[in-house]
Amino acid sequence: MAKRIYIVDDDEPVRCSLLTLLTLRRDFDAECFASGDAFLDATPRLDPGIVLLDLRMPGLTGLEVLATLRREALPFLCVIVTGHGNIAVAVEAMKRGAIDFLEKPYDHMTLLETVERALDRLTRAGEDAARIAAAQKQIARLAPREVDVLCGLIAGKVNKVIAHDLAISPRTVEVYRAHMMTKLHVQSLPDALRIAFAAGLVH
Amino acid sequence: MSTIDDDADLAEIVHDLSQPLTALTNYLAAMQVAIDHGDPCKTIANLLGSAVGETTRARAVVDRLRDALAR
Repeated sequence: MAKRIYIVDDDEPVRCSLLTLLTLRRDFDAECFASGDAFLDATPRLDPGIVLLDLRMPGLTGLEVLATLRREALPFLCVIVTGHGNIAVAVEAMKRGAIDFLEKPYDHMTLLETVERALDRLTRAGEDAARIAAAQKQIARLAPREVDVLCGLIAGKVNKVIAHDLAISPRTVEVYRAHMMTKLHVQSLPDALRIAFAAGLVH
Repeated sequence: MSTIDDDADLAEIVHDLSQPLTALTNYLAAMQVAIDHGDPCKTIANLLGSAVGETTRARAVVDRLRDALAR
């Protein structure tokens, strides 16, 4: 997966120097934006990535960009870049979904470590999302009654109790249970539970 | 800014100095990377030119501070 980094900073030299550095390193695919508005406008065409987000900018502030990304559940993780030494604002940004912050002026190593850490998180978030989507797709293949039986099993009920709750025979519960296991491609109840949990069937 | 009379002014100065220092740090790190990669001298000269520009920007902030102190 390409390591995509989006730089959002209104200060032209800061923006260009960072783009130059990341581009010269050749291990990142970096792009920069002069404002939060410009970045948000571009998001439909952008692949998931890390946003190095300046907090204080004309137009939308970094905090507003964070709020929009979260509201629209866009696939970007933000690292706040602040030049004020204002910890209160950095904390506020973290509360609003930023995953880390960098204080200007940062040194090269701190920058790289922060970016790599953020990229790791992005990869994991992508894997989690894929796992959840796959599990939901599997659960969606189940008939309503099969889901009912699965929920009964999750609740720790035996077939007889499930049958009573659903007003069907224990034998029918067994059939639904077998179908459910086949459709989920699992051999054991714990494996079925794992899928149910991943799909969010259990709260 | 003519006087440094409160924390807001100080925060402003921190911000104004941290910008060129950040860019300068980036250009110097980029120069190191370019040298390590054996990139052409032209690339390194361009980076050097940009870095010098940032020292000029930082000096302007220092000059402003000096003027403020002289008042």
